[in-house]
Amino acid sequence: MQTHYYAPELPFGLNTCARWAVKPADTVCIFVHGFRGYALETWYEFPTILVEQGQCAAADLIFYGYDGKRARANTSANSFYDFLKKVGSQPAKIVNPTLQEAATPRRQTFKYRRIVLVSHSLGAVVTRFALLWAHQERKVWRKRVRQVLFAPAHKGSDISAMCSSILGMIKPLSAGGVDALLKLAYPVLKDLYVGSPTLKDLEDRTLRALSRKAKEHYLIAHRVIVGTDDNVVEPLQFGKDPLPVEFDGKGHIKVCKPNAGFLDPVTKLLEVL
Amino acid sequence: MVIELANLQVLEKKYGRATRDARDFLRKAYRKVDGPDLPYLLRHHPDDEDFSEEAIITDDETWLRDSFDSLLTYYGVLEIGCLIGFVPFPLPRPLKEEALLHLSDPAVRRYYEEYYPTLLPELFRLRLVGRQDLRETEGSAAAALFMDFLDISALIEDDEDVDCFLWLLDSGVFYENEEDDETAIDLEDLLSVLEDYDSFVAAVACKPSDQGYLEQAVQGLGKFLTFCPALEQVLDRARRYPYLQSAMWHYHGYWFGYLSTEIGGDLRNAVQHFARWQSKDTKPRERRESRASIRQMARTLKRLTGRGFDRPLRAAVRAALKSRKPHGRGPGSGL
Repeated sequence: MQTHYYAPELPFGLNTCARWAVKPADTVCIFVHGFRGYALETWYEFPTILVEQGQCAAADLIFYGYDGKRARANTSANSFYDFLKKVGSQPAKIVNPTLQEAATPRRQTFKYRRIVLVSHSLGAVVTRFALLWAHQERKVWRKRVRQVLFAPAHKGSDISAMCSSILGMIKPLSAGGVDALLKLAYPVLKDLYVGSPTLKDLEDRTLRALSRKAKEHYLIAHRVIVGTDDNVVEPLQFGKDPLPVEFDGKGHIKVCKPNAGFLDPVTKLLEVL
Repeated sequence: MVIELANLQVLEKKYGRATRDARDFLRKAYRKVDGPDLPYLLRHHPDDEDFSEEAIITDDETWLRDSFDSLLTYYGVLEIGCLIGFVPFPLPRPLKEEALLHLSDPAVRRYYEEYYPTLLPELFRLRLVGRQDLRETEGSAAAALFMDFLDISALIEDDEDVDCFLWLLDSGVFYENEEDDETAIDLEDLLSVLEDYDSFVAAVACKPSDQGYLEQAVQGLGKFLTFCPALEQVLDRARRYPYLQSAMWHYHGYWFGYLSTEIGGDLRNAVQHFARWQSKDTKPRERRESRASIRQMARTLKRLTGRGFDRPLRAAVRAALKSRKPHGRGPGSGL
């Protein structure tokens, strides 16, 4: 029994696609890929496994895409925030235009009870900035947001390791090569090195936004997951986030890719729905 | 039925747009006595360079032929949809009649059966005339896999960089300057870029606004090589559904079939050229990882260009063509 409608082209971001729940949805999971990722390809079997899970029958799944190479993190966050505002305040305006005539449209007034942002690597920086702006503008829906972060790059990353995956294969470059890519091909990397002003600003503002006693808060991640073999991102604690959960033997790329023999990423997501 | 109908509508929306010119052309060709010449438009374009003036395809014809390719792609998608119960079957009458009319046309059939053989349109025609009724509708995973497959295929569809790379791979040539046909770029040039560290970094680091054909082809190769493992993963996940697995491979069958010939050697060659250089600062662990990832890519390409995924559906076509009795409610004629 098919539980979700297919929505291949959403007019937001880059190649953003969705699976709309056939049952009325009260939850939405928005997946945000990382550096040089793709809307869907980054997440491997996530959509298939999730639509098979009973818990997700009433959850919409959105795979948000953006230019994860050239656009600076703030620019991508800005576009993502525009999208998130619509998801938070008027989701019917996003869902209904991409539902087909044969499908039942959502009520104009429907709202999500829970908005789960699932991000990988650079995606965590993008979503965190967007949430900061939601906080700044006191958006009502912000309190319904939860974050699940896979290998987040919010504490910085090894830029040369990030550049080494090239043409779908690993090929470490010299310092000069990395520098050339950084300047011309992948300006977003300027945001991602350890101690970059972008990341420092992100953490400072996040901490300032949180009261001293804050524990359950949309600016605090619900789950942070890292792979023990990840040599790309700094696995340090960000703001008031919980300690990262470690997935044994997983590297930066595979940590967010579940399959039949590795369901941990799905389990961690289901815990926060 | 509501979901299946919604699925059909979304596929029509996703794939239908690009088929408009072909449908218009077919309508005109059928209605007018002196209408456009369909067999001429869908003529064979020989691979060798010794072809007559008449065989040369003009730019306008190329656009139209692209629309015919899109129409056949759409019918291929519908065949997979019928196979897994993703779309309603029987299909709505007007769609079924139009598809059968198009796919039974002798010029169109020659185009997809002889000149540029693709199996899915043929299977769809056989389904529409009741000569095959393959079904893999067990469980809910098939629909989800198919959706993933369609989205992953979008990685290489309608992408200028990928088109640029595939054109070179298909023995195509680019002229940097239209007035000067002495300076051309071909596959050899791409291979040279891949095997030289400085040229490669310069090509990858090139700003989109400064990119020429060669830089675009390098970007296209990168996208194609990102797509291949993603496709392989979807196919592996579909192992419970051998016909669906084979059908999804056949959707890209023209390229993978083509890559299984000598041109596939060129693609593997490209990967090997890329494997040749190592930057000086590479650590032993990185070197090991690099070698392993390149071996993995070579394995993926070998699997995708092998015949393993081809067989189930090809055998089904053979069986359908041998069978005399129509299946189910098809009209059972037109073969």
